[in-house]
Amino acid sequence: MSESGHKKQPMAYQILAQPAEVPLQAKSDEVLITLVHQGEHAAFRVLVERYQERIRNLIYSIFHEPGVVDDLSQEVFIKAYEALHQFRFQSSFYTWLYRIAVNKSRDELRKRKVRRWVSLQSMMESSDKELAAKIVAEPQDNELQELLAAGLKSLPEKYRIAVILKDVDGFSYEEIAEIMECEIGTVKSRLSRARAMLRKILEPSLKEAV
Amino acid sequence: MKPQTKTDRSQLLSAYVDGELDEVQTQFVETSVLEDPEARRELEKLRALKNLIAARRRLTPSVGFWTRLSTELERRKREEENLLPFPRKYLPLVSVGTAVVILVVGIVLFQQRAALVDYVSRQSERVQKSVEDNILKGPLMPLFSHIDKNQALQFAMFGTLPLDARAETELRVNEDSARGYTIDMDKKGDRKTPTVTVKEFVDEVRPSHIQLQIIDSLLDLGRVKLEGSVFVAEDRAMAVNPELSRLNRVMLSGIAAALEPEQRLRFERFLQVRQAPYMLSGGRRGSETSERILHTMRTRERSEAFLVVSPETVLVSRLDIDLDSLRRHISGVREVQTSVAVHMNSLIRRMGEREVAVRHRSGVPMPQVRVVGGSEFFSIQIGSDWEGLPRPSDMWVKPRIPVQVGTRGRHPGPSFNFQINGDDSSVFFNLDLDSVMIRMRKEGDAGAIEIFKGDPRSRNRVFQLDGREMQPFPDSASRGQKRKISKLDSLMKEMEKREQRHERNQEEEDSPKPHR
Repeated sequence: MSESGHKKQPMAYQILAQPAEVPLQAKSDEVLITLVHQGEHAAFRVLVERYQERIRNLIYSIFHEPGVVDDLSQEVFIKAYEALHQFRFQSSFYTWLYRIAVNKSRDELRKRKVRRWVSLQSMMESSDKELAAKIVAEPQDNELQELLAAGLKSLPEKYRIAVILKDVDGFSYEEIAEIMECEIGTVKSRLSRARAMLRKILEPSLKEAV
Repeated sequence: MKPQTKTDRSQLLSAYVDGELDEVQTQFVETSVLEDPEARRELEKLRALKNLIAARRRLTPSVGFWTRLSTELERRKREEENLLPFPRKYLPLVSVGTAVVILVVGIVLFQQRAALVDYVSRQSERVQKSVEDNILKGPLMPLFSHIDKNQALQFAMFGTLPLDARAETELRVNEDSARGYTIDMDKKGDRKTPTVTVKEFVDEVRPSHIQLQIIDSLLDLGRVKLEGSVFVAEDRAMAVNPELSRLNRVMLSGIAAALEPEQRLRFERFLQVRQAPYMLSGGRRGSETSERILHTMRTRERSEAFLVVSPETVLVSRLDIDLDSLRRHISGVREVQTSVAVHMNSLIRRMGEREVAVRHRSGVPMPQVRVVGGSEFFSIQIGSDWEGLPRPSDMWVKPRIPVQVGTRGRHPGPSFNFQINGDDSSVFFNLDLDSVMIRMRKEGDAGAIEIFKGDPRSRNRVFQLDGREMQPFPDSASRGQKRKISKLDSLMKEMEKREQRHERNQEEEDSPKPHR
């Protein structure tokens, strides 16, 4: 999952195990956080650069609006920077950062009072030039991608986030439960429900794919 | 293992696709998929969906994300520092210093609290004095200056006094369990002011000579207190002694306390026939004696706390009014009463539609007082917490609640007994509760009971069928009133007969017996 791996080692061991001449980019999350605690600002830059694209893509997957991606991602990292001194290494930095991102996204969704069920037609008709410029052209069917984006956006927030964390970011059920602050059983049922909803929307296209 | 429902199977397949099942569950799913074509199709769709989501478009990496983020972090840091008038590193030190200063100031204030309270009180007094000086301008004139004993008795029984010679307006004190006590000044309109004379009282209640002396003193003291309770200033402000709101009940209680049991029965009848708003409470244990009430009325220092009411404000103020010198002062002024009535009517008009809460003043007991003005009235509402007022529990009289009772339409219904006694409301009846609905409600000072026959839930439908509206039946009430009065009459006749028998016996005993 994270570049430093998820197996937790005692902090003292980790710090001692890092040779002094190792560049910051090669250091583990935990060592970098310890360095930030000690006032080394550059260590935070490494953490940001390590996770910025994942956080941006998570937010893009949730909102499907390129306009909010950078602003919200910036808010996530600012919040992380402000709260980093409270980080006690009880979870991985990666899941901790994702929890901040998910909470920020939820706040934003509530703030906007986004309608849960967005008109599929209106989504299909939307043509966003900015979106086209920011996304990587993949050899996927463009229409199917639009349909998938609209389908994801039509899901209730808790289902949408669960399916993105699983299928896009590849988290385990346990990690999703930690990020979303719920039980593993809840994650399981949310994922199943989310997929059932998506299947209904994408039924014809899925038949072709199968 | 076997999934119970379609949802269970979907969850199992979903978790299988995610690789989150244990060995047994995985084995089960794989067997099921082999055996069940529908499960196989569902699994294939789930895999296709998962692949589709995983292969979704991604954003191009952001160039300069860190530059923007670090700039924003720097900006926020600068903003935060600009808010502090000292370097951030001194923040803990400054916080501790501020806390120490607050603590020291707090301790000093706590030690000097007596002086502080005194200072605030003095300042408040000064403000109050300045307000008072601007409210009551010119000499005060008593609103009532020549009250006779008949009017005093009328006030005691009905709580009303006419304000001016043409009797267009009147003062009325009222006891309302919901609102406390009220002193109303308003136009009488069509309302007829009840009148009563001391002679009527003496003829009907027949007090003894000594009792009459006590009652005479009570009425005289009440008269004096009435004259010293309401004053009007030249600028149309008014000062009212809040004790006025209970004065009538105290006077009536004193009269009742002076009477013997059989005279009280006559007095009760006297009150009933004239529809006075009070009835005798039967003399509870601990009720004041007439001598004690007289003594209290005589010796009680006149309360100096007055409610000063002007169109602009209401406040409680201590007024030291020398009524005798005031009388001497106004004795030479012609048409004082007309002038007072004009001021009073003008005040009522100027009060307008408003509601003013009483101003606070330290050192003066604070009742809950509100003044509510209309176009032709204003009402001073005094809460029952006013310390200067006598306690109702010591009284011999209590407010009468007229009762109207009725049954619906031609339904005679089974018989029932009921009793309502003001404070001690109680209803007794021998009807099946399921078949009867009893509603008690209050209209102004009067209470009413309505009794309906039939299921309360369907009473609307019944009314529609019957085509009648719910109405209390005054005839029934007046019959009840007459019955009660006739019962009193028979009781009194019986007592009179007993007295006459007793007198005859006495005469026989006193007369010289013939010698054999």
